[in-house]
Amino acid sequence: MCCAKVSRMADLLGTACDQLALTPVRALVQGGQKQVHVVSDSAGAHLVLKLIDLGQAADPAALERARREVALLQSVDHPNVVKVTSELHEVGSPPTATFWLEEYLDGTDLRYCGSGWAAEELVALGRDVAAGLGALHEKKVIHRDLSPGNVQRLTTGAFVVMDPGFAKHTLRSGITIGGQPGTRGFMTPEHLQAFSGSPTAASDVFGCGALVYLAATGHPPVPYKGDDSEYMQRLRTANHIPLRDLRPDLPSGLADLIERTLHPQPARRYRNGVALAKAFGAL
Amino acid sequence: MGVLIQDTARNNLVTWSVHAVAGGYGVGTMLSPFASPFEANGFKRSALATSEAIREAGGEFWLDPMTYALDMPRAGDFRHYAEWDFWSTTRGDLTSRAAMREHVQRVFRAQTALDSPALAPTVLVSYPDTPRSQTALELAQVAMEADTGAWLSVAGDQEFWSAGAELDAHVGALDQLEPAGWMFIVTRGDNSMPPSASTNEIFGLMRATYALSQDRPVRVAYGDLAAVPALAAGAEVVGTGWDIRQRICAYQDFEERPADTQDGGGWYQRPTLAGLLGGLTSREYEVLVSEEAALAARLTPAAIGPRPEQAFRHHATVLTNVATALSSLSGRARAEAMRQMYLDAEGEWPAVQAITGTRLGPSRWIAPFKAGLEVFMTSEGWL
Repeated sequence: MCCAKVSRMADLLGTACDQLALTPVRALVQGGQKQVHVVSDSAGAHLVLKLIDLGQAADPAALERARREVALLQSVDHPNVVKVTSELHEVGSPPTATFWLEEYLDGTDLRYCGSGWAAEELVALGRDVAAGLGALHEKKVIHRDLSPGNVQRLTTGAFVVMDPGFAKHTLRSGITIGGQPGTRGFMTPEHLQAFSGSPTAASDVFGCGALVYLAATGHPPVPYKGDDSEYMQRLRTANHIPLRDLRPDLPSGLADLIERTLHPQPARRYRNGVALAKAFGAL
Repeated sequence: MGVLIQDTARNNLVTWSVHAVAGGYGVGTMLSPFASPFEANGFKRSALATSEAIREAGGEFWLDPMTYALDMPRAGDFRHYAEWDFWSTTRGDLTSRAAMREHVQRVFRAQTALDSPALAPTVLVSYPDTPRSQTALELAQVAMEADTGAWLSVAGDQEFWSAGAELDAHVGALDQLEPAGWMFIVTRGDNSMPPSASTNEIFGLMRATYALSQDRPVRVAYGDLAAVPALAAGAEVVGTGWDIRQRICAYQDFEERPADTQDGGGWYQRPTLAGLLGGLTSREYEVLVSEEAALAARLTPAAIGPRPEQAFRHHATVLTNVATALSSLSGRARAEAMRQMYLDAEGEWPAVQAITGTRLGPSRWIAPFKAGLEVFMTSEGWL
């Protein structure tokens, strides 16, 4: 990161902490346009501060959508969805940066949770993530960027969905190789679409299935191998090795459920998180 | 279920539809604002009188707003359409959500007045990942906001239905709206019969039908024999009629024509033979009957009377029988049953061609549809 950018983000962190009376504790993520910090409030309670540098060419419509979506997320109170505890704050006029607060979650995200999980752990992961997605989908919020870094396993063993809904509003912080931003290895065929076919609740269902697949096998169903065009080619058809072939020890009901979540046709998957959570619950 | 009778430029829609409903070879009627007036005009009944007559006979009455026809190249036959109160300002203006809402409300109001199910208007899409497809999605969203019990229409040309992942993604987005049912329309650049269908178009139509028919009814307007693969994929009804215009949704049938003609087109009296899943000209059929009466009787089957309504009755019965035969099956068994029908028909054509010298054989009546079906079955791991 260039010195100017580092300085700008440091300024932004200072601005946010001053505005909300927070004290920085430690940095969690320091990306180009996005930073995540653990902060403490005046009572000493830990919170997570998320900062987005929109640059000089911020899209007013995207900002408006982000405002609406943060307001919606504030209204989501579900044990499997991280709680947004502040409004979306804007820096500058017109805004060139935004920030907001979320609850602090203990535990670790799925990037550090290994693989080869037992069936009951996989079901718990799928059930919790699907339930969290269901709560979002009922508010018409689509996550769009479900990836291992966006699901936290708490010390209690529960799983919590993080960063919901922000992918679409932070295009510059996402990785865009098709029509939509997302994380390589965890995109869906719909991420390649620019218009009507872009991600829906059924795309989040695919994402949930991909995370369970990852936890079961150690790699996502459509892994990224370093070549964008080759990845997109495979992603178009969601071509993958069936879970039952890689983990024949798993119950067939679970393997079948995961296959349905990974169907290349969104209309062939579970329609949303609520339907998926119900399916996991029925196993 | 069977056959829905599309609207016609002639004035026999009610009488023949009532006969079809009573005879079990039609489930009802789909009125078109391009073919019928809102008020009676001396040649045709009013839309309300048509609705009442069909429903009194026990049939379904639908009003298709056919907004998608406005997008057709050279669309210009607005003699009847102009009577319908579908637009507050410029005809076809869907450039804002407010304009969409206004149009949807007017369409639903007309359907309510006519006791038609709410069938949402849609635009014609040529490729399912474009600003136009986005308009189609937004119009569908507006319609579902206005009436959560509405059916959604999906209208696309052959390129639209031939698209792969883009079609699937577009259909997936529409599926999120959870309408009461689906009405598909395949529009065509020519009105030749049988339609010049492609393998990919049939595959796409089947994929969409199979996906959406899992928990909602799917129908294919103007489908006729070209939509039989959709029946195999789970559709319940196809649209048809006695004129080509009722069997194919082709651009030239919506072009401007002289105002003082009703121009119903020619009767489409080619006998449709169940055993061929296709048709012959009347002359060819006469030769077949004359030369090989037993073969003709087996393939037809049943008698085809000389009058247009009798020819239509037989045609609609053939389609109804296919739909009925498939309706008790699902998934793989349903597709396999349809494939066997195609294989059987394909096997019959050489003898018929040898006897009649017909120009249109299985390469037009069978090949593209069977090929699309087989690609679909292969994609499902059924073949």
